Amino acid sequence: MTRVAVVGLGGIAAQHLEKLNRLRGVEVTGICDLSRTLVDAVGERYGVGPGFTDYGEMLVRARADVVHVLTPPQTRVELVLRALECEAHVFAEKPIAPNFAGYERMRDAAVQRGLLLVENYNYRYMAAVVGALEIARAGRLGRLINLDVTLSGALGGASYSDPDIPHFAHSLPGGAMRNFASHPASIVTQILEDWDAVAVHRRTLKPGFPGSDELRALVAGDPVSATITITSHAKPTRLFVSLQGADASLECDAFAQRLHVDAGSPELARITNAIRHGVSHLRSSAATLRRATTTREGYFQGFESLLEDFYAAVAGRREPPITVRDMDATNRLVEDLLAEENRV
Amino acid sequence: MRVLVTGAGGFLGGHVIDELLRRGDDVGALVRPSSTARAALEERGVEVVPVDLRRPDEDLGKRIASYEAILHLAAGVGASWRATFDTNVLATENLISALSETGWTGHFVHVSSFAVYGFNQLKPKSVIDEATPLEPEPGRRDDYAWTKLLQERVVRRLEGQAGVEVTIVRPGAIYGRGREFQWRLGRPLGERVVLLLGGGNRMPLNYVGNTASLLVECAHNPAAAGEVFNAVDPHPITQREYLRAWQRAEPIKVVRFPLSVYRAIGRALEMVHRKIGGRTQPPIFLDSYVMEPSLRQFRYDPSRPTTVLGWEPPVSIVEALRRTFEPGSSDADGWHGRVPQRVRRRRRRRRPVARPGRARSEYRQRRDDDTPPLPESPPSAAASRARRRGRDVGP
Repeated sequence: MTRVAVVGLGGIAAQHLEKLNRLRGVEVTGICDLSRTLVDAVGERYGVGPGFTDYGEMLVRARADVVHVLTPPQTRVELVLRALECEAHVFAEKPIAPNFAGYERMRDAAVQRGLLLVENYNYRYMAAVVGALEIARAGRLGRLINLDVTLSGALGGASYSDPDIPHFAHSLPGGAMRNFASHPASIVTQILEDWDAVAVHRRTLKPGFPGSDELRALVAGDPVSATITITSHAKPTRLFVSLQGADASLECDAFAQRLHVDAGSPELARITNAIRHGVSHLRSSAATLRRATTTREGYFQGFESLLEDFYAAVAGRREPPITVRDMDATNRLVEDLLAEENRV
Repeated sequence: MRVLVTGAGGFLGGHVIDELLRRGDDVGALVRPSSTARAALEERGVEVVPVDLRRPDEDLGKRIASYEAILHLAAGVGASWRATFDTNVLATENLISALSETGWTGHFVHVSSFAVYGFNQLKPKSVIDEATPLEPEPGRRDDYAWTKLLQERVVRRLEGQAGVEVTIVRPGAIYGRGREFQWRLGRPLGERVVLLLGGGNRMPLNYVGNTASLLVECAHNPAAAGEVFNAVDPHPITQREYLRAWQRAEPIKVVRFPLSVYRAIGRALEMVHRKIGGRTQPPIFLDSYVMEPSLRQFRYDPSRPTTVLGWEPPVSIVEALRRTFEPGSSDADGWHGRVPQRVRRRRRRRRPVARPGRARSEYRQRRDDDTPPLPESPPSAAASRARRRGRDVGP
């Protein structure tokens, strides 16, 4: 049985605890936050515990094999390093650190001790995104030319506009956008291992919103280039991935679980593609209805598979689902997206 | 009497402030620093204490120590479970801690909710009163019910403190101008479209003026100390009756959905959930444990405030519906009766109330009748059609 401790009982903790409770061979042996009332209430609701308000005490008493670090990114580096010192693997929420230097400290400590450190890139694990990346890697699109990733509806929650208790993300370097940038970046870096330049346009659409709430970026690479859009005011909430290759193109609406490839001989393409579109819409409607009536996972469709793979890696049954190379590239791209010198 | 109201910038808070001022109390209002109600409160001679209770404040205890009574209304539903938790539980904990640390003495009146009762464990048509057991599995209910239960636990920590009296008031579904939609009707499908689940359930309605009056009475009346009161109006009306009153004033479209079918879907999903080993979870709006408390038919005993305090709700159901829905009624002029611009525009366009006399007669019979209301038989399809067309088909 893998013993798990969770620190930071914010909104995202519910997703972690629900999924950990469903995973076989995993037991939550400690939860920790600053408020005793909060710790007790969450422990009671999810049937986990014991609860701690002292992180050091939890690390000693919970004897965890894995620590989930879910506190705001500003506090994460120290908490992750302390968990690694206790020989625990770490699963951390995104963004794993407020800057690249913080990430490097954690990465180096984990590599040195031979422990797993994984940042939560759950959008990359959604079934449609996984399918799209597999198709691209299998060469079905031919030589890849361009990749577009759009995340709409980000930064739309009321908590980002609360004037009395500002959201922690506003004080991150690069602003609240950093809290979302790793989602598209983690997908782009699956196709682009490196890039030559990044040009970013950022703006604020909501009056009075602290910082920018929209980002449009061109990631210029060779042979593949990418565009990334993160917008808060376009509805519905959507993660859209489009891949263009020399032989075919692919479109993936991740939350709607829709994926189709446009290909075929020039004469028949209009007919075969229309049929493919129809079939993919029917399939995605059925899959979305099934999920919407049997789960409350919302935008966390890929999270459970990611956790399953992570715990399989902890048990030594497979490779880590997110590698150091993935995190290096993603965090580097996030830095480039938010760097002032890349703004146009 | 010096009385502090938390959540004074909210819907209920405005009515409570009015009631306190009417009684001649020296009123303080604890509001969030960004609250838009601050100017209106100050204009009315209310001392504003701008504090966000979700964050601990070292000076809070000193700033509110001079109040003899505190009406704790601050609550809400946030964007996530944690936001709801912070608003309802952590805020209350911070307030209670500040009061305990300064050794505050006085009367603390806490506004809880009907949601804390264990409705799933009760048979349909059971009587809900103050002795009804609380929810035994709060974690299975929605975030609001869960946090309101936790909030009561936090408030009860004050009970052992010397010189502190605690009263808990659990209102039913508070309504009034500005809060017309009730979750016990069903679900909103749009700005003016309501998905009506069932229709014949009597709702535990509580007109906001009556809630405010009871809360102020609790602060003043020593007999309220240590007591729990349900705040629910006598002579409850059904979902259909409430909607009919609303439709007379506004063009609300109602989409009816049979409760039996809705429940069957919920049960089917639960079966699937059990069959495949708990790996699925129905969405909140199809989770019967969450939804059943607002859909099951119960009876409500409103008598305890009258028995213990000698208090009677000052506004009858007829008058409450008139104030809520009729244009130009008294609530519309109140500073707390502010409605969004788009709603005001809509109200200007709507047709005049068709027959206010009919609404009056429909409810007067119940109001004047001391016997419990009779169960309503569903109207015939012909009668429903005639009513929709505006013809009088009799009671």
